[in-house]
Amino acid sequence: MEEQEEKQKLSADEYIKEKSDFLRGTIRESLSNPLTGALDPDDVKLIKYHGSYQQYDRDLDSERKRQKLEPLYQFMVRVRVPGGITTPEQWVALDALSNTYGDGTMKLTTRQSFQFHGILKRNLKPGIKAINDTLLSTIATCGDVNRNVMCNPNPYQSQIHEEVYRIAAHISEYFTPKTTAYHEIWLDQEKISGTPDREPLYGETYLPRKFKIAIAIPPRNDIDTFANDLGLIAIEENNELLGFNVCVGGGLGSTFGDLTTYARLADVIGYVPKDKIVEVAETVIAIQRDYGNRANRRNSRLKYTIDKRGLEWFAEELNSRLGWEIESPRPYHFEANGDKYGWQKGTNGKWFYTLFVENGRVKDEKGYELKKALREVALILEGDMRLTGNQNLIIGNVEEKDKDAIEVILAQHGVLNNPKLTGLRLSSMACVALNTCSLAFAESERYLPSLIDKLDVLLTRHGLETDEITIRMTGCPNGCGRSPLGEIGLVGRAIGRYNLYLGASHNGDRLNTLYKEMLSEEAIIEVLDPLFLAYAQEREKEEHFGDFVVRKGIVEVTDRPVRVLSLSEKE
Amino acid sequence: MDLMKGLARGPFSDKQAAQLNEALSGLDSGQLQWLCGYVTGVSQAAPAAADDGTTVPAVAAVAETPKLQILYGSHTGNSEALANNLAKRAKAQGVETEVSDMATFKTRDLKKLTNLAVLVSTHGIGEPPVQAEDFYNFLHSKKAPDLSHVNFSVLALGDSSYVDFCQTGKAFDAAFEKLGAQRISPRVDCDVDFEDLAEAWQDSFLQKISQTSSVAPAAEASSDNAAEAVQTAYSRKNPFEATILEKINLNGKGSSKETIHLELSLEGSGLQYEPGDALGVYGTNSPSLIEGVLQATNLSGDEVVQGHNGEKTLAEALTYDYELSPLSRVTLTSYAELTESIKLKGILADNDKMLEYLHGRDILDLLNEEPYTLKPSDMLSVLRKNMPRMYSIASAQAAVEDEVHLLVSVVRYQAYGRNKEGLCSATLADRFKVDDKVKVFVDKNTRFKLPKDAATPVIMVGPGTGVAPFRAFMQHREVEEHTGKSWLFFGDRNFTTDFLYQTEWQQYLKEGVLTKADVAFSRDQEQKHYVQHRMLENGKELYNWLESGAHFYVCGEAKRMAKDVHHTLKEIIEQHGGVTPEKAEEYIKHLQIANRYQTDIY
Repeated sequence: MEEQEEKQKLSADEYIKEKSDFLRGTIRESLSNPLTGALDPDDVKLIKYHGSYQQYDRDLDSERKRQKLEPLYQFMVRVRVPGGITTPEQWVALDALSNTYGDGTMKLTTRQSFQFHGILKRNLKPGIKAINDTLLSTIATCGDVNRNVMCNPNPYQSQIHEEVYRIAAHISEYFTPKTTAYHEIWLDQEKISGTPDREPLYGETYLPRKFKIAIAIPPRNDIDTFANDLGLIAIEENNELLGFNVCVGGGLGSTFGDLTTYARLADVIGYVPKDKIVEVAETVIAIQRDYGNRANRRNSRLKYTIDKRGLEWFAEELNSRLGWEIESPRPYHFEANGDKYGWQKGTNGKWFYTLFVENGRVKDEKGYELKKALREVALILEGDMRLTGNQNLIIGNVEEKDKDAIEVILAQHGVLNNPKLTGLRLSSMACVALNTCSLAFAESERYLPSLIDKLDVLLTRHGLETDEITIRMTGCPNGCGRSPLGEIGLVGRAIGRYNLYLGASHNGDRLNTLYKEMLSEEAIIEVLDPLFLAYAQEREKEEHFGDFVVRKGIVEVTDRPVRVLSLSEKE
Repeated sequence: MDLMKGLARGPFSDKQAAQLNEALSGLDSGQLQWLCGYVTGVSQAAPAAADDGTTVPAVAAVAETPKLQILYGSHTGNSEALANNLAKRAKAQGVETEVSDMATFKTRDLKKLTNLAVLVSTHGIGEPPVQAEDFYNFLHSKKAPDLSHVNFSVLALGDSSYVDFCQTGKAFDAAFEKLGAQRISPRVDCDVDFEDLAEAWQDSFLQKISQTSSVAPAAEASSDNAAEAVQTAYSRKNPFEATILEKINLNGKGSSKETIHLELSLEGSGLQYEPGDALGVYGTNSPSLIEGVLQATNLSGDEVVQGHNGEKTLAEALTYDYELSPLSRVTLTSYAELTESIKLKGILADNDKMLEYLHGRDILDLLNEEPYTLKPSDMLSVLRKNMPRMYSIASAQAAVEDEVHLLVSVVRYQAYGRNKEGLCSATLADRFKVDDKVKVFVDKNTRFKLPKDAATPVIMVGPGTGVAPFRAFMQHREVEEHTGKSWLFFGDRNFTTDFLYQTEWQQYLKEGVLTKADVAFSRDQEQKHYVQHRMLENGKELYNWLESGAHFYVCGEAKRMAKDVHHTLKEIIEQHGGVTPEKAEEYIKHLQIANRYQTDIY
């Protein structure tokens, strides 16, 4: 009965998908309409599956309205980079693309992708084609499908990295939509007549909502595995990959004022040997495809499907569909969800340099020419360029002999030894927000650096300038910057006003809790200063800030911790 | 429902009301419905007479609830959903109802309203949703009309965790009251959990509008008739001082152009214009140029002079009555004679040299290059009178009534080491602001008029400011509900910044007032594209339009654009009419004679 009712009231998006002819819609017609820089409203939804969001410059919104001009529509284009690893040649090509078609910058995202912003409609097709020319794609980087698969990018702590990365890339490829619409629209490939489109897994209405997969390799949780619909934790023995713990139902987005929505960390439901992992992932996706809420998009992520029916139900459904039982979770241990900066020697004997990229924005500033520097590095690099889950960059697989040359380039452009790189800044993350994201209530990326300047004054006063306290800001509660997992989380409510959340763990297994609402910058500083002081004076040995505020009862943890479903529980 | 209470307010005596009440009280809703139809029929067949013998308008005899207008300003869609819900309920009660987004609601329709429901959310810190901004600003501007004929109520949506909770709804509520409208049910401020309060507000509002149903139809004096009777006293010689109501640079941030949209008030002038007419505007000279001229001539500006426009100080005369830029042939000739300059006379003797000399120079260049000790009266004697500039009017009076809108391209350039500007366009851009007065008069243009037949298609070619009269055409055709098809060709430099009146064209297309639009932006790609390229691409269809009687209009720059468009038109006729160049020329001539090919070029 209930399901029937839900079916009758499918959300508008479901109808758009259904009648889109496997994501074609009228995107071609929309692209060629010269009277507007926007797409037809249905195509705005569909183009997400092709890797782009239609946005507009919100700074100019009121001004242009008065000028009788439509909003300055522009497109964000997101590139699929499984596991975040690109070649130096790809980097150089993408760097050039950002100048030709975008706003001259590149954003390294929290999910190991590249984003280009400010692409006008007429440049969308040449831009996407140029990305494909680099052998990367934008398909399914947005939309109700499995997104870019994340993977720990730094092999310095584990022998199994290479194998896990290959599995991530395989999963990413395996769950890519099969429709040929993408190739027809952007790459001018002709549809072979008489061959109907098939989406064996997704079907013509795809998933109820986006689906995220990430693989962590302990002891680092730098891709925040518990924030994903399906989080995997690599399990190794004697430097060999055995399989993965399977975590389901993570997702950080919520909507202010809608109590049926909330951030949720994934639960660990079991362990699967590595040769079964694709089968398990496919089955998890299929369950969400069949049971996910298609009536209300606010309640359609896997986390709500699971909470509605119970974790035990989910585990049983999974086992029943598999026809075999997944094992009990194996022990694992996470140290931190941040990145380790500087040179690390990989288990393959080569070197990996993790470079802090503030909020993932690769651009040139006076005295800090990051974009130029990285282009020059890419031009001489024989290794690879790796995006981390914390919006940073690893210059990877560097021979011992080439380390100096890279350091010289970075130093020449003011990128090395920046005195502003305090512990807080190195542990900071912000989503894009204004001026392009239509969801943002407040500034994020453009504002966080200056807030950190001010907080650093306090931290320095209390001798905490090198302490790695994670601080994450988002312009809305959708959580692109994973603010619910910041030891300090700031979520925009209105221009210049933020909700302050405290008390997430340092390794990504506990969410933070709302501490104060609607704070101005002045109030944020006023509230945090005494907490920093207390932390400096009263913390226990190696206690992280998030754990400290919880121990002291400054915030009461309301969220349940990550649940580990054991065999006995399943019975 | 209390019938007695409702009927007592109607045009009935107590006795009648009691009788009706008794007769109606036993009826079920189906019977009542039937009776409604019956009574309507009766009332239309025989205009009712009241007890006292005076005739009661048929409208009032049927206790019909006047049309309900629902306006919403929505950011997230809640107000919109509630507006639609209210409409559904009102319609179920038999009330004619229209729901409009504030973003597209035509403010001139305000005077037609009787019952108005406003549903609006508050965005950010006490701000209206972007979609409601224009309407919000209009109601708070001096253009806002008297609304004493309107019954209204406001439903405000908001989030109480914000300081300025429901601020936008409150502001609308206050604005309507200030404009004289009657608040028939109190404003309700809803928090995030708005459902119950919103429903209660709907109940109360719907009850109130059914109670006030016998309100006499709004007595709206036709200002048109009154205005027509007044013969205007204003002319080129006696310009009207029009107040600037609005001034907007239409070019978006980063544009290489500066094109100003002006709205002027003609209130009280009696000035009338039709689409296609022009407005004459008197500008003033720039203070820095006057300063330069006075310095170059060693005059103070305080000298009292007798100019063509009466006795005043030299500075005043130079500001208002004479032209200092650009340098005219008349001035150059007079100055050459006065100064007996052999050099200047030599230049004047050769037409090409003279044109070259005049190009880019103003009076100050002349004074600096050929210094001469001028008396104030000498000065005035060489100068040309300040001439008005003509701007094709960008509005239709049917739509904007007492206003007139202009589209002005601001002329600025560098020449001979100084920044120069167009006298009138710079006046409007730099020296006049909102609330200042501009001297204007209407310059009729009978050669650029919409077809007499409202069903005749029109093709409008108007790149740049040439698009101005076509905005007037569209405004007129929309209000007058002309049925003829229309096709606009527009061009400028860059799509994102220079698409003049873009959102209006989009809206006209959506409403079907404009049938088709093609645009060319010359600097968005390597190859320059102009309107004529779009005409050629659509040659076959354009020819078909002409064959079906379309009028062809061109407005804008004369030297190149209008010529190119003319050649392209000829080419299209040759190609798609399958005729020789001579026959195509004849075809065009025929169009011109039949007034089907009209140009307003400059």
